[in-house]
Amino acid sequence: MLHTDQRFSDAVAAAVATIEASTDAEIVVVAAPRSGSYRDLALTAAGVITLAALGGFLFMPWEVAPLGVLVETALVAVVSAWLLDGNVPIRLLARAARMEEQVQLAAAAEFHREAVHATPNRTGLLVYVSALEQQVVLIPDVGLDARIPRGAFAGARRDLHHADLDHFLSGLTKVGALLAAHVPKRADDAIDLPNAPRIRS
Amino acid sequence: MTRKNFWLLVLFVAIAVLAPLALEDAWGRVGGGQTSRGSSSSSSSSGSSGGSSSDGDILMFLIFLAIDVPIIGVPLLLLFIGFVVVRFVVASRTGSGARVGTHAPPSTSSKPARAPRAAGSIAALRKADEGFSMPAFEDFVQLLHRRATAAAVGGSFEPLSAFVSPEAAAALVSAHTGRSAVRDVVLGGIAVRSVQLGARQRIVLTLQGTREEVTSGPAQRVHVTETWTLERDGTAVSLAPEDMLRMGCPSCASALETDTMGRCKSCGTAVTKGQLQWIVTAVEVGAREPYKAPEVGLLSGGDEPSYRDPVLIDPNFGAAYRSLFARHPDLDPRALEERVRSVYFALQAAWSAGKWDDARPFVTDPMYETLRFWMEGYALHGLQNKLDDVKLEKQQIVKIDVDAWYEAVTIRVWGSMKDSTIEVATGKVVGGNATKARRFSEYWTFLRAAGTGGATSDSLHCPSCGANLDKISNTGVCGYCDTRITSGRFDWVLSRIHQTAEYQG
Repeated sequence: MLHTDQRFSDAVAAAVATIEASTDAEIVVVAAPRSGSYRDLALTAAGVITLAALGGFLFMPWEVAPLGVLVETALVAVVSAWLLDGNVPIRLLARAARMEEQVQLAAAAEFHREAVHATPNRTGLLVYVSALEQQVVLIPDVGLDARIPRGAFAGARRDLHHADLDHFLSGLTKVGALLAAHVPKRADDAIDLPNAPRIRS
Repeated sequence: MTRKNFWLLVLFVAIAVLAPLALEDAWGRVGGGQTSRGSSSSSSSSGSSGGSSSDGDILMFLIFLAIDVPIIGVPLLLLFIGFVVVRFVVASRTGSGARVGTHAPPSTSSKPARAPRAAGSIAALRKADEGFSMPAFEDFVQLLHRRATAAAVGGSFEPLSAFVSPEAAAALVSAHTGRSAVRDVVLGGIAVRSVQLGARQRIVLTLQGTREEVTSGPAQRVHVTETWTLERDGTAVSLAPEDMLRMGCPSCASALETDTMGRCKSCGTAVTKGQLQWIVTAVEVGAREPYKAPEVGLLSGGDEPSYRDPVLIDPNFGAAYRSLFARHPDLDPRALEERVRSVYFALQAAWSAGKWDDARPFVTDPMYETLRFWMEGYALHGLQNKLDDVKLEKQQIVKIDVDAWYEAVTIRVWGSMKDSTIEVATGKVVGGNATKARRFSEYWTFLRAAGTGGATSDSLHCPSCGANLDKISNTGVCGYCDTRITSGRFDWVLSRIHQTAEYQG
């Protein structure tokens, strides 16, 4: 699991600075703990558990006061919804297609939010990492899309592992090599923008 | 199953089925509510998982306690759940922010420029009213202050009836009893004390300034601190800056005349209760104090303590920078750098020579007034702040902000100069250090009107007519073409200077 801590920030910032020294592309790394709330899944599962608990209370062989049933059932609903909101339960509850859809949507939103489309020659590249879904998405702007075959990006994407920092940096370096080959550095940047990843909380 | 139990079952089935549907909109929300469990995930040292193991341990313990000793465990469990829910609600309201992974720690300062709470509320106000702009609001307050102060000494509040309530007018008149005239009002600072949003919006401001007051004796220059409360309806929206400064009817923009019901005589709209525009509802004028000389003391050269403080870069800087230069493809960062350089030297030269009017083309109205306030403090007491060997060592853009009407760029500048205060009559150095340079750094914020063309202009000539900048009035109007060039409509003008130790990003 990739941890978005200070070590991650420093390592990614250094890697991006190295890559951008040899390419005109602008790399923006965004890391998010998850790409959606998935609260609907947690609440649905909590509802089922609550229903089961209610059934248990109703058909228990001994007498339970109605107020007790009400309090206990409400308690089960709240606690189970809270417990099911964790990463592991969500990963079990969500289908792969749903998680992929969430990550793609979130990455597209980040592309806009971080103005990756606003580089002078449309050579921005968003690297979006989503921890819960354990996915990395690359979204190149049209300037890169025009110069780098999509197949090459697909290959680079495969190399970008979310598993740990070293694998992630290794993948990032391969992406850098791809960018340097197709979009080499031509002019000095007017300004050195921060290379540290944006970490969503 | 009893009837009561049956309806309980129906109720919970309904909740189980409907709750996810009610929350369907959460699907597409990026990162929305993801802090529900793991507010700790925002910490740089924690993992990216949303869970918190300590909460889980406590919960398990309480569940066991509730089973074993229900009379103690159940209330504790309920309290714990209440705490978690409250924490979740607070985290949701705080919003899911973003940060740059590596950033400098905020600098410590005993004198923050503005209370963070007020700054946050201004941001909330901007969200509630997309047309709200702090620079435009400050211009409006400055003009209103000048007019209201003049009206309080023998003038009429009738043309200000949409902007000053009768109670505030009475307070101003009362505070100026015995004065036959008030001249040369200089507003040295506007600080936001509090902001309240809701059905009635309220901003409380502290205004510091000087003015020359004429009583029975000779005119005296005094320093006054005032507290102004401005209000408007929660549904009101800000006007364009030029319409705010026109100070006509907020509805039809005609010269303001109201009837006894507080309605504009031209359009019939009720305007005297802050329905459409900010109105001053309360004024407290503090005690007048003689305008004292600025405190000066001899200094050694070398570096100011904050010179080496880490640079505070706005977390959104990268995206804002890309957006700014995408909007203005002809805006050259080097030209902006040159503009900063020329303004920096022009301001230091004007300040050192005691000719603040020379700086007029390069600063906004409030900035001009603020620095004039300090300059007059020196002049009034026969002092002059001399700056020699002025150098600009480095500059770095750290923040770009775009509001409803203005684009603002904050730049950290590092420079050095021999900074001394002399007695004009004797030439004696009474403060600073005239022989050894002192290195310092500050954050300078420049702004210009949104929609202004990309390229920066020649800073030696009027950006409107091209004439020399030797006929710029106190209000920033070029004497050759009668165009106000300090509104930011033509080029970047300096709107604020923060000391490094005070800057909070």
